[in-house]
Amino acid sequence: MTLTAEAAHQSAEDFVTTFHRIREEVSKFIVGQQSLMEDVLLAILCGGHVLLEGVPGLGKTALVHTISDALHLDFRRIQFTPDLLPADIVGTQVLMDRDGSKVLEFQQGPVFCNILLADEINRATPKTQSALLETMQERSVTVAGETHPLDSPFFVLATQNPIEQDGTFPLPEAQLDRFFFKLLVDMPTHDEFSEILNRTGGNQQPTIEPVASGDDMHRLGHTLREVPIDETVQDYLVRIVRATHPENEHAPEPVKKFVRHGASPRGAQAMLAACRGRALLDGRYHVAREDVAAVAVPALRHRLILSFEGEAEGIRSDGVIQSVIEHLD
Amino acid sequence: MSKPSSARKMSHQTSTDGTELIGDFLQSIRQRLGLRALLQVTVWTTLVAGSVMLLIAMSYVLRGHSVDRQWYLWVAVLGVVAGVIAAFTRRASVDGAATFADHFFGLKDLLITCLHAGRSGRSDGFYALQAEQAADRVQQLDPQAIDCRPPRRQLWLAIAIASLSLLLAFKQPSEAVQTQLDLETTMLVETERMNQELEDLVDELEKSSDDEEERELLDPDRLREMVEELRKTKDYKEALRQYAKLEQQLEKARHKLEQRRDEQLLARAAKELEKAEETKSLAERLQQKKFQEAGEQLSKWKPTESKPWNQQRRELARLKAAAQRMAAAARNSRQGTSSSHNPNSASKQSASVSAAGKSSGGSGQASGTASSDGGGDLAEAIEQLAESLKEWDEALEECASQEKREGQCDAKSAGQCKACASSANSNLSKLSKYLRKMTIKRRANQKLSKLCKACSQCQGGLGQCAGNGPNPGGKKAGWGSNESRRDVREELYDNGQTASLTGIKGQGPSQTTVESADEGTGVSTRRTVERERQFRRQFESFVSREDVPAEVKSGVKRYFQFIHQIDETQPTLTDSAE
Repeated sequence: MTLTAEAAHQSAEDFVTTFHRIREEVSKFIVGQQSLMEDVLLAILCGGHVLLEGVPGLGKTALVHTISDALHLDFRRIQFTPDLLPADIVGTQVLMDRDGSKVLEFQQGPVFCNILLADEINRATPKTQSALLETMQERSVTVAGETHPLDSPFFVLATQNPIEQDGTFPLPEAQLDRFFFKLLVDMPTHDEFSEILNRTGGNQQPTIEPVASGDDMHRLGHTLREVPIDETVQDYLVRIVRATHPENEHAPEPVKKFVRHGASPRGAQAMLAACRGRALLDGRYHVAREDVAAVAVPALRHRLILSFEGEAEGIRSDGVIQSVIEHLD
Repeated sequence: MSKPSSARKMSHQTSTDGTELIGDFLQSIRQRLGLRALLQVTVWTTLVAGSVMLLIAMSYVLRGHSVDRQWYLWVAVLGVVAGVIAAFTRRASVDGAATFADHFFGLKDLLITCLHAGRSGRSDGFYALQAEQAADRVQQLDPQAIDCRPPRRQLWLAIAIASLSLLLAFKQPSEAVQTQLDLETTMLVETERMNQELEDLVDELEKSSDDEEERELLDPDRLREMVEELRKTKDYKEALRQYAKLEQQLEKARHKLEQRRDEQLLARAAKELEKAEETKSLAERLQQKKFQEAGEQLSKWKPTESKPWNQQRRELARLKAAAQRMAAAARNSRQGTSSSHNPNSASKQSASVSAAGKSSGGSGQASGTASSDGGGDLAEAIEQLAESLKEWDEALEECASQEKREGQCDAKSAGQCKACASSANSNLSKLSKYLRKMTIKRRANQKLSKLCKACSQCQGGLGQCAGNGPNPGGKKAGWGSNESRRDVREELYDNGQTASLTGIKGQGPSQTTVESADEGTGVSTRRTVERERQFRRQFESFVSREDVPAEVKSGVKRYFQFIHQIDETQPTLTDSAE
């Protein structure tokens, strides 16, 4: 069903208003990190999962917690540890006494929520990490041959510490590819630092009011997919993704030299959705190349697999993606 | 989110207006871009055409030439054509204009998206909003904001280069080049004139050759072919080469007609004949090289066979004496030749022949050797005639004595006398024919010499043309010296003509000829003849120059006359030359 101009305008207006309202609510507690906050919200509105990477104490968990409060969604947190089992996440069948008979009943794990905070996700074993694969992609859990759908909406916001590598298990590529964005959490500025202390040092804590709901998320997601993208802009997007592959003829020299494998089509899908969101937030009804270039780094940085040379020379994916954008401009 | 003002009550009418507005805006952008492309193409075309023209002009100027102005026309035409093609291909399309406007005005792909949406017929929902937004935005934009001015640096560079190349068009050629160009023009005219003169000369030669035998010797058709092969050329060297080649061919033909040995033999015979009063008239004819008349005179001296024996014998005496004197000269000549074949003289002759071969550039035969040694055929004919006359005289004497003794001559003696007379007549006829042929050969030789001389004059004339510029070089007329040794080195004026004609070994005529010395004591005239040939050529070429004043010509004439007087009066000069 196509929207009328009036309905489209209403939807776009609703999208922007809701977004700003959520952001303002989150900003009551979270100081600074505006870009990070916008990207996380954008990913949530697009229905994607986010991997947050930053050193401890930068407010990753607080951000996720605050967002869940603002969205009035069911929030669960799992602290990933090496001894965590898949059943601890997705749930398991337990023997129950029902009317005098013993039956096996499925006991839901913490994954049955709207927003799941997978804290320090790289501390779990690959087996446990993989338990999240189905939940992130299919939004369902299969235990003992029975599939249990998750609540909707469902978002996974995972965090990981880039410094402490002892006893960690790097996320497999398949798992990384399921994250919509990988966002880097930076240190706050001097003023933000002071403001954090002011807000959290006293007895008074800001109260986060729910300003949106799960239904709002669904509606806004639908609005996003209506935003048109011109074929030339889409072509630009595809060229960027294809140019991250070293075997592509248009790939720049850094890609050919330092990248072993480029981004997947899922990365292009994530970029397209994020571009649409950015276009609406920018007050436009169409996607521009600027949107594509802006979302390329957070959407693709975790999807590039660097070669041995790239790893050895300490090349970062962000630089490689920037070179691709500059090369295609 | 900011909403386009008119979007809330958007109707089909407003959508159409918005599309038209965007269309007009894009058209304005296209015009603006077209103008900018045209100006840029004009500047770049001017720059490239100016650079090309500058290179071409410099290639002329650096060689001292003035620039051929046709190049400017061609480069300008090519530049205009290339410019038109470039401007046509660089025309902005509607999509190009939209993309440019998006970038230039920071519209973030608004126009291109709107354009493509309009083409695909999408006008609902977000597309309608987008079209309205685009219409609102373009209303606020001014296409005139696009700067059409070409790059300033390229513009000034193009103007500078084009001006410089145009200025070079007015540069005059250098003096040396101008001289060379004049020379080439002169050379073209002169070679054409000379070729025509040579053709006329061959025509004249053909007309004057009425004798069939002479025509056979001269072969005028072959001569005409050789002359018609000559081309008019502006290349001095090429012109010299072709005339030299023609002269060489003519010299070769002339060598075939050489009969110097025979003439020497007849000259010697004339000296012998001069000693007797009765044969003086014959000697005079031979000295004057009237060989045909001499032959006829010999025939006239033949006795009448119907007359009595004694009278016949008296009439035969003059013929016999003449034949004997000529035979003596022939014998002497043969002895002289054979003596030169002895080991001592042979080495000398071979040396002289080899020297001749070198000096003549291997041009072929030494002159005077066309007939056999010592005037072979002629000497033999003379000796046979003398022998047969002697036998005839003896037969006549026998008949006369028999008639005196017995009253009449017997048939045997008369028959013998008749046989001797017949043999003598036959030999006399043979000698007369030989002498007649010599006359014809001599005439043909003279005609070929005339043609050779004309060729030589052509070469001399070309040399004068080369030196006829404003700065001919060398010394002024009358300031030169014939002294081969000078104490003080004299500076010559350089006229820039440093090119020299280099001959090819074995090719071309030589000024030197081998002259065999006369037998016996005396002074060889070889060097003198050689010098005379040089002087004659210089003299002829100089006096035929039109640009030389009459007084200078007369001075040169006097100079050569003076030289010849010295040669005649002071034979020691010739000796020293040897």
